[in-house]
Amino acid sequence: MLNSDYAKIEDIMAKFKFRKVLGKVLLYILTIFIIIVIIFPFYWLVTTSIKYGIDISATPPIIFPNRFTLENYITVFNSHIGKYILNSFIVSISTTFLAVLFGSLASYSLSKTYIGSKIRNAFLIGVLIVRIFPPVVTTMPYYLIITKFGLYDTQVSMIITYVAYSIPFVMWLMLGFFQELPSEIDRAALVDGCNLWQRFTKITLPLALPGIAVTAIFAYIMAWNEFLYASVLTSQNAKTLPVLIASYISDQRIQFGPMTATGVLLVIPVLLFSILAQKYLVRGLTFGAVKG
Amino acid sequence: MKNKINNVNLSKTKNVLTVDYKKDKIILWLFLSPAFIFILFANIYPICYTIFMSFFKYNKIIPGTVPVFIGISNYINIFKDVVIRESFLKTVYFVAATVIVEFIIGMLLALLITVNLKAMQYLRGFFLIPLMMTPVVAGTLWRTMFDPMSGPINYFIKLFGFQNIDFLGNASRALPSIMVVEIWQATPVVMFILAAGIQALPIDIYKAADVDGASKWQIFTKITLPLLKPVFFVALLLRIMDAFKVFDTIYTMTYGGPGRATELISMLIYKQGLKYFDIGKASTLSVMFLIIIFLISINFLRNIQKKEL
Amino acid sequence: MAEIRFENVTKKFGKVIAVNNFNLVIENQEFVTLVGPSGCGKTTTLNMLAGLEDPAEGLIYIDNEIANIQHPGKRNIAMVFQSYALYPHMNVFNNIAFGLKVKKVRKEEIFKKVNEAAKILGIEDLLNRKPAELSGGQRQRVALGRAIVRNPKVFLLDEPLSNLDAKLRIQMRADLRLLFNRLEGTVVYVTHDQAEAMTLSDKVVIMQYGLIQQVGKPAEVYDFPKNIFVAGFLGSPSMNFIDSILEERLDGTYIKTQNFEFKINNEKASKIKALNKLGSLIIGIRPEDIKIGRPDCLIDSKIEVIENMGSSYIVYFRVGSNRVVATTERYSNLYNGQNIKIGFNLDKLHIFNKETGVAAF
Repeated sequence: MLNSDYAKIEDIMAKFKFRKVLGKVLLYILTIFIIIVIIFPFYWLVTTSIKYGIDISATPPIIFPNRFTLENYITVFNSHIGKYILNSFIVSISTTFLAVLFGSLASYSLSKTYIGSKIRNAFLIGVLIVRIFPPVVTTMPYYLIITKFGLYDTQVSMIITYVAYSIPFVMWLMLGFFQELPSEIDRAALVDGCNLWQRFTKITLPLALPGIAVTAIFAYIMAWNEFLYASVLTSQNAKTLPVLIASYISDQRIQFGPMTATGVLLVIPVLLFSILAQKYLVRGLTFGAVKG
Repeated sequence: MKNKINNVNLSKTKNVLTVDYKKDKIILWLFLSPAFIFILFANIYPICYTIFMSFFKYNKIIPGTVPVFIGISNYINIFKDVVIRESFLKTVYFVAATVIVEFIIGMLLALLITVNLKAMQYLRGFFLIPLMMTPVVAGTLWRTMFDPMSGPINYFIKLFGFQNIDFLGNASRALPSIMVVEIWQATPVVMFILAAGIQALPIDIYKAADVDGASKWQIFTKITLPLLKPVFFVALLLRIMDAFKVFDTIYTMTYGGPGRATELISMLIYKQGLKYFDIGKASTLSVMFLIIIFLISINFLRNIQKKEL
Repeated sequence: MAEIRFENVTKKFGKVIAVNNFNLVIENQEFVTLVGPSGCGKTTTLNMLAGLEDPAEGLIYIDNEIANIQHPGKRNIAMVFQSYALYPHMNVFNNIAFGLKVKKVRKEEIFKKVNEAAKILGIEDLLNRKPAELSGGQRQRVALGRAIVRNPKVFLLDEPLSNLDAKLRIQMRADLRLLFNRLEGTVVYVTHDQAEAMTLSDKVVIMQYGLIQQVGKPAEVYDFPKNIFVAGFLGSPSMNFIDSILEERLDGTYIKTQNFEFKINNEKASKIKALNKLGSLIIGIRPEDIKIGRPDCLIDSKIEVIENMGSSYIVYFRVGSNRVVATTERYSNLYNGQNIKIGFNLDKLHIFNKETGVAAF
């Protein structure tokens, strides 16, 4: 080959390399930008919660505080937050347990077509409807009915409300998980002499455990984060954390300090857990959308 | 391992045991019943109650009032009411704008992630933060950040030489500000779903396209996008439904204000029902809301079904 | 061990008739194969026998008891599924032991029986592993172990070899036959592979479109297929089919095709005439019954392709507009493009009615 040919090849390769490097640099810049957008608000939340009150309302705002305090947290703990944390926890755990229990059993039934396709379709449509409609719509009936039964401001009413709210979602997820299990294994168990209950407990359940874990995580987080029903149906006794946070906003002023402190307490367990259970969460999120 | 399908119809009978075992049926009905009871009493009944009450005039704020049947007067009044009409429009605007932005950014991020799978493992946790954060906390947090005096956002704006902006106090800026929060919270879901969809596409097609000499843009528009359609539409449907439900962030950031600038339908229903206790009106609004959402979702479902066929 | 009877069994899925009026008797300790192409109804029939599907009509007897209403677990059958269907969360020992545990057999009994079964199948050192850690062949043997440990009346096997690679498949064929001989079991085997059907079974049931095409011993159905489907289905390479017509001439009856003709004897001629439509016929001749280049060969042909199988040749001839396939020994002096005369072994000729596909003899 001629020298000029070599030169041409080198030229092309150089351009190619440049493009590649440029591409990678852009990628890194983009990634950093994304991280900032996501991390900064969280950073702001945490730092505000440990700032002195004066620093919080400082103008211009102090981005990198050089003095910290726990006074906000102390304020918060002095105002019965322990009780509210307990409320949130009890309600969330109970909801998760009941919703996953009832929802999984129901989904298992629906995954077996003995039930007859008409009833099955009716159920599925019902589940879909309930999943789609906005909770605001039922807040009034709930308020009226629950006050009528004298269950206003009780944990029981919260649990019942949340279970009803979560069951369609649980059924949606678990149905998918049950249908994913290979049917031949169920048939093998049948031939091995198992009745329905045995198949369910010895074969289906163990294999569906990951699915149940995902569903439970989501159910818990949904209950923990819920605000609307909690604000409508509780007062002093059964108040949960989200309601507490909103109460720091009044017409006169916003108590940023205690508010962010409570926010941190509310959000940290969820976020920590999410990061630990990443795989499961992403699986659950994408589950309904991607088939296969 | 692929199961040999002996007969086209068998694909529907994947878990079928068509033999009728009475004992089994009883157990299955038993399994179904708790969920059934809950859905019936705690979901279907309240909805029916709402629909029922929408035909009544019932304002509980005056103690001792009794519901009065007025037929469809409530509905007629709603159609006449400018405030309500504007609220619907704002709601639709909110949903449309947030969903569009979410999907554009989400798609870009999804592409970014599927190209750089290793980075994905580390970044996944980050992307969950906005998603999992309690909406109330997100709302109050961003309210903090938007604050004209002590909020960091204005700080950065001033750094770049611009004037101080009052986000939440300004009628025309309040809604977009809330949209920013909603987009911040929801884009990760879109990203995850689209990324999963892209990863589920068969690699062979891409290899063939490479060999055929297609450019990256062509591959994206002619292969990735069309194949992604079913996933895309399902995600779209889910996001639209969720966008209509937004309440917590509005409540904590602006409570519908300033004036009525951010009073979306969900806020309106809440105020009518639980602040003014006008149950009749709130019920009517709820029904209208449900109908709209219903129509949109049915439309979508039909489109998705057609695409799958 | 048991005798199995199907009486007028029919199965429908919606409007589609998957199994149509199935009648069959399976003797005690017989190895019967249901064979046919995809969708012919063989797996559905097997499932009905297992109790995994319900017949729409008809009765199934196992050991003189009506099985229709019996739970699969109570029919005393064992089944090996195409995908093996091993329980992923249990190790091999527990997989095999599962059926016994369900029946509440004593621990020591279970231990003894599982080890016996494992020994027979050569998987004793795999007992602690989980299915995910096993190869395809090993999983298959575990599935067999699960079946034999329960000492069932009937063994049902649904395409057990289909997921194995070609070599392993041939190896396992012999092993399977030995195994079931030793166990003295009644076996109902389903496959789409005609070679498996031929080599393993005492009796072959060929199915198509939900109907039984023919039942008989392998040699019988191979040498005397009753219709064109059976004839074409069994044997590899498959039988050659050539259009032809019957011609009555002064000196006898002739079969005439596009490129050649020959005379047939009166006995066969009358059987052909009994087929009703004399006009269109189809000749069938198997590849191994074709003579190449012998002095008595009269049919002009040209060699298109020669496949060297190692132990034999498969030769593709062109005869007019027909393609004819023959098998022959190696070292025949044949080459591509060669013009050569071929001939048919008239004793092994088959004649079919073109419209109905029915064989004349």
